[in-house]
Order: sequence, then C-alpha cells, then structure tokens
Amino acid sequence: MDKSKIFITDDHSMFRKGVVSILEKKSEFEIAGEAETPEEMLAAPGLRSADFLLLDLSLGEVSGLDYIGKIRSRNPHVKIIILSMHNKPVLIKKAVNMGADGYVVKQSPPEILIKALQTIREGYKYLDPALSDSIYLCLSEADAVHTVSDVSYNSLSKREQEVFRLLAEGFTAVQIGKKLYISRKTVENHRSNIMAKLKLQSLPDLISYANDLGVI
Amino acid sequence: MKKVLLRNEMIKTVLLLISLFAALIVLNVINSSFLPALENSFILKDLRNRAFRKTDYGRIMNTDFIRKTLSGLNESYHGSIRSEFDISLDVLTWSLEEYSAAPDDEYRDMVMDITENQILNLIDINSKMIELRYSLFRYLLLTLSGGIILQFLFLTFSNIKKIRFMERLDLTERNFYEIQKIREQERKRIASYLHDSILQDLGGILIRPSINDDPEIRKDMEIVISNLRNLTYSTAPLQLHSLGLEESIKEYIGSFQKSSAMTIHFLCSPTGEIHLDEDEELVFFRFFQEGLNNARKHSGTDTVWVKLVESHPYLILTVKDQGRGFIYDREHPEESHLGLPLMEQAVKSIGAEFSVNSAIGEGTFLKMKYNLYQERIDGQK
Repeated sequence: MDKSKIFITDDHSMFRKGVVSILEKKSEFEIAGEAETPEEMLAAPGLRSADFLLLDLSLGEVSGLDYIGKIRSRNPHVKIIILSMHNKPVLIKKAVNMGADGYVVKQSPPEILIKALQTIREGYKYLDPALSDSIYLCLSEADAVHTVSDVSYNSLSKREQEVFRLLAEGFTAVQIGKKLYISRKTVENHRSNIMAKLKLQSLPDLISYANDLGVI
Repeated sequence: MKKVLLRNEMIKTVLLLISLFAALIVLNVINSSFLPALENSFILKDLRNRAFRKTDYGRIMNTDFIRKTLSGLNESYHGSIRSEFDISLDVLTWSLEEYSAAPDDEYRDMVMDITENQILNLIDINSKMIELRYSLFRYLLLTLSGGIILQFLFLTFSNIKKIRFMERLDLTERNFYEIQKIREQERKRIASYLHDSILQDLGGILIRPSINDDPEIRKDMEIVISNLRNLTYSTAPLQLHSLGLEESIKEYIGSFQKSSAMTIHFLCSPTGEIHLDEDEELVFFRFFQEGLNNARKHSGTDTVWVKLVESHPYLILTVKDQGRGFIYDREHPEESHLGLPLMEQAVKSIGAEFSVNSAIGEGTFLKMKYNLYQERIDGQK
C-alpha cells in the first residue's frame, strides 16, 4: 500500500512536532508538509498532493473551518481531520456540516489519531470516542434544548411583527396607527392578516400567543 | 439634584412675577397719565399758536377756539400739579369772560396778556407732568429690563448647568460602556491565552509517547486539561461570535443542565439571521448567563424558560422562572443580587431596555429588549 501523505496545520509548534514524531514512526504515513497559519497552508505545495489534512480548529484569531472551501479548491480529494481542544457538540456539528471527515480531540492518546487516519482511509468517517459522552448528552437533551422555529410567526412581515407586538402590548388600532404613521384601516388590515397567518381567533388568543413566544 | 432644580424653578418664578408686575405698572402708568399728558402737549401747543391773531385793528383773542380747546384737555393730573392746572384753567375761564365784557382796549389787552401767560403756564405744568411720568416710566422700564435680563442670565446659567450635568451623565454612561468593553476584552484575552497557549502546551506534552506510556500521568494531565478548559469557557465565550448567539445559548444550556440538574426550555423564534456585533452579542449572552445563574442560586425551582425572539425592530431575550421571587431594589440591591444592577448598566450601555419583574412567591422575569436598527452609543450602525 502506498504511504498516505499527511499535511499538518496547527499554530502550536510543540503540538505539531509531537504529531509529526508520532506519524513518522508509522511506515504507512509520510509527512507532506506543515503550516502554522492558513496562508502558509494554502501556499504550501504539499497541500495539493496530500491525502490527509490534520487541521487545528483554532488558528489564532480565525477558525480552521472557514478555510475548508479554499482547501477543497486546492485539493478536492484531501480528507480533513479536525484536531481541537474543544469538545463542544455544537463545534463538532459545525465541523461535520462544513465537510470535515473526522474529529479528534488533542488530548486523546496518539492511537486515536492513527485509528482516525486508518478508518477514514477505508472510506468511513471518524469521531473521537472521547466525544461520545458529549454527543450522547446532546442527543438526550434535544427535548429540553429545542428551538421553536415557528413557521407561522416566521411568515409575518416586519410590519406585521410590529403590529402584532403592539396589539399584544394593549395598544388600540388608532394608537398603533399614530405610532407607526399609518392609517387605522391599514392597522386593521395587518391585524386581519396576522390573525389569519397565526390561526388566531381573538385578541386574548393573540396576547397568549405573544406571551408564549416571549414577545411580551 | 431635585432640591436644586426646585430651588431654581422657584427663583425663576419669582423673577418672572417681578417682571410681570413691573410690566403691569408700566402699562398702567403709560395708559393712565403719560399718554394723556403727551396728548395735552399737542393741544396746548396748538392753543398757544392759535389763541390770538393779528388784525388790522390789532391783536384779538379767539375766545371760541380757546373755550373749545380748554374743554378738550385731558385732566388726568394728580397732586400739586393738579392744583396748579385747575388754577390756570379757572384763570383762563375768568379771562374769557372778562375779554367779552372788557370796557376798553386797555383792559382787553391786559386780559389777553393774562390769558397768554396762563396758556404758557399750562404748557409748563404739562411739561412737568410728562417729565415726572417719564422718569417713573424710565425707572419701571429699567426694573422690567433688569428682571428680564436677570431671568435670561439665570435661565442660561441653569441650562448650562443642566447641559453639563447631562453631559456628565452621558459621559458616565459612555465610561461604563468603555469600562465594560475593556473588562470583556481583558477576560477574552485571558481566556484566549489559557486556550491558545497553556492548553495547547499541555496538549503538546500529552501527545508525547513518554506520557502515553504512563497511564497515571496521562489521566492526571487529562483532568488538568479538562479543568483548565472549563475555566476558559467560564471566563469568556470564545466561540460566541463564530457560533452565533442562538447556538452559543443552546450550547451553554447543555453544559448548564449537566452541572445544575435544572431543566432549561429554550424557545428561539428568529425570522431571519440576527445581525449583532460582538459587543452586543456578548451583552445578550451575559444577560442570559446572569439570568440562569440567578435562577440556579435563588429561585428554588428546577425549571427555567429562556426565550429569544425577533419582533421587528427589536430582539427580545427573556429568562423566566416560577420560583420564590425577590424584591428588586435597584438603588440598594441585596448582596445576593448585586449582579443585576451591573447587568442593567451593561444592557443600557448598548441602548437596550432592561426590566425585572419579580415578587415574593411569584417567580422572576428578566427581559432585555434591543432595537436592532438604532444608532449605537459609539455612533456606529
């Protein structure tokens, strides 16, 4: 089997040297190049021929994830493994959604990194087992941490949102008209549209809806 | 400040009353005697010019004209001047009768001389009256002018003081905003250093084969790294801007629930992408953190509702619990609720509204309302 070429981008030289020393001990891998910054990485010839890219999530002020697009344009076939101190599910999710093939936590044993490389080489994706607890908890917390992406409310225009809130706060159509510099008739029209879109029958329903939403 | 303002208002009122009083007197003076005297001066001048006329037979007196003129004179004189005026009028009335009944030319000439003298006397009396009224008018006008000038100066001075006070207030709010910014920047700097330097160094050490060969050391190092990472996250939310407010809140709730055994319901109703800059996002996040921490420490309940909703032009964030509640005294907060006044200041420093509704036994409701389209305190947007 040909050696897999690995490019490493990490702004921490001590860690980078440590990874290089581990990989050099393995005959199946060879180092294609190293970089400390995204610019250095994109300019390096080794990136174009690399089979794997070990990419740090935090590169100084910027995120490594922001460069995935440019990396793919240099080398569409490279497999990207994120290396990070972060173990937050939301970051893992973001990395996966942006096209990472694997995620390894830096403080995991070196074997985990080797395992990641071997697994991805086989055509699979890889997540560090150390992340299992975080991900499991994230999945089990789905009921408690949920987003109400209320489609009905999302359908209100900006003006309708304003009228909706003012109605819920107890203002009359005349008062709303004066506040928004529109006629009472226009306010009444907005009100009708709001009631229809949100499937509400009465003003108390509207107030209750606004309260549930957190508008009042 | 209130006493000073009240005192200033009283002084302004007094000055205004003085000016009004002086104005009324001036008007009265003008109306009652000055104008009539002025009118008389024209009448008397005319009388002097036309009381006599020369003919081929000598000087004669226009008795009808004189009689008519005297009856048209204003008699609004007072005091000693009035007495003098009356005496002259009486003499003139007598001279008109004597002229008509004069036995000869010599007597007639004598009466005409007396008449002429009395007319001149009337002119003189009238002039004295005008002079007197004019002096009084001048003094009153000076008083009125003085009152108006004093009031103007006082108003200007008190307005300058007010403006300076407002500027100082504005400066205080700006200073607080700047201090907040510096404080958060410092926290971010510390958190970044912990994460980008210390944690990375430890990671670099951990990957060494020699460490890997000693499971006990490895385990201890992993604990140290984990504790340091938690410290980093609690010092500053480094990923806030890259993840966005909604995701950061969700992510924080996840960890919070783990450590607190509380249930947090998060309702988020964005109607589009929320555009906040880093400072604004941070204030929202800190408000949310403070709300959760207060609920954990004081509410005595295990359920909290966090709601983030966009209601044009506002972004509204609320944290609510149905716990034991408390009485919020902004000026004298309890030691256990010291974070709230600071939070209020921070929220107001970005121009957002802050409200706390809480009562004993009725839970707590914290609300932050921010106009996404307003001009920021530093003039941007």
